[in-house]
Amino acid sequence: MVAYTAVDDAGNIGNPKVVLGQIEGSIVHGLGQALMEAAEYDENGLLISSDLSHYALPRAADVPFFALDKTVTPTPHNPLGAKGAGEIATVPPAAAVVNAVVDALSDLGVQHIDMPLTPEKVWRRLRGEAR
Amino acid sequence: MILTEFDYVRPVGLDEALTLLSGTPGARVLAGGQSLLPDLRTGAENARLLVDVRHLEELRGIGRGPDGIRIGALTTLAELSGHALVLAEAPELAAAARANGDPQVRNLGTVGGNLAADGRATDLPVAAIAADTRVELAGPGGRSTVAAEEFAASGAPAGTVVTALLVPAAGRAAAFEKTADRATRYPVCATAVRITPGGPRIAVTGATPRALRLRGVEDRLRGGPYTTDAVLAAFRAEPRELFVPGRGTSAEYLGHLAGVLTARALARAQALA
Repeated sequence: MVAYTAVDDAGNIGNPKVVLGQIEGSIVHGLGQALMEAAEYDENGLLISSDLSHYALPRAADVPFFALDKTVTPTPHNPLGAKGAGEIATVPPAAAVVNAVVDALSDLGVQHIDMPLTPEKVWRRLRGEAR
Repeated sequence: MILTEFDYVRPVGLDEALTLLSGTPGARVLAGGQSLLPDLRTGAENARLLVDVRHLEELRGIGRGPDGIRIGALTTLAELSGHALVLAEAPELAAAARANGDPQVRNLGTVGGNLAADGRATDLPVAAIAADTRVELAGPGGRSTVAAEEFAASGAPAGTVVTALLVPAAGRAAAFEKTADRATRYPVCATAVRITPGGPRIAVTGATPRALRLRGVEDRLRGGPYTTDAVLAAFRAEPRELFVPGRGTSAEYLGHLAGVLTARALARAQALA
């Protein structure tokens, strides 16, 4: 991950720092879903990714500084014109990352890879394996 | 996750530490504590007595030795990674130290502890093996040295303390490469190479049961050139069971990854030489 640009619309914004913090956290959450995070079970159905030494999630050093911008479309449904900012930025990152990888492999006919996109999964698709 | 009960002692010198270690069942050396203390919490390790050696000045310091560098066992990973002499003469060790854990771990974790953390695929042993390092030990019978490769296989003999690493000077023709586990930062695979007049020395860890020197790969690459294709072919000729599947990584993938990392390391070592 070398760059990530996001434009979000939370309507009228009260405290920009709070909103930007929510958006940054949301992006990291989405990137983790795309690249690292998985609930893994053993053959007996026991959860093996049960603590942070077994469950990979992105840390500050795993992500770039984000380029963030906004549009402001006040909602008519409340007096402040403010909209939720806590979840909207979580939705696009996984789709953006997976689409970027699938696009990079499109000349091999790759149209889909299950998340998380681990290095071995991508390597197998590069070698022409079905999954 | 609560520590079990143990005694703690802070000996005044190395001799007292050795007496305590050989005379007390369940005695363990405490240095940086970055492997031992978490392992005591999880129950992976047991100790009846911790012999704290952190303050022993005789285990500190980095300097020139008879034919290379002498690195005291209490040198922290942070010190090793930034030391000018190490960067110039044993760059694979500096890079391996820098690849460990996170800054807090590197500020506390020591060279001796990293090497002696048996059962964990730490980063330093593979670099020490590629560098033809000798591990200096103090024990009841006095001082001795053992090759890093042998130390990685058999660990520290009971009752001994690692006192120093003796590293031949490379003149920069060495490099280290690693792919870290996303959760633990331990190596999925790490390789270290050192190019000597007799050919390349190549060692791998993470993908293998422990840090290993790969003589077969070295033989196939002797005389070069170290192209990516040649290195990958040299790794494909290794027995498949050399590579042990990890969490979400197959032996086949790890063998390929080891080849890719070794090719990168050889290219960098050549460029630096």
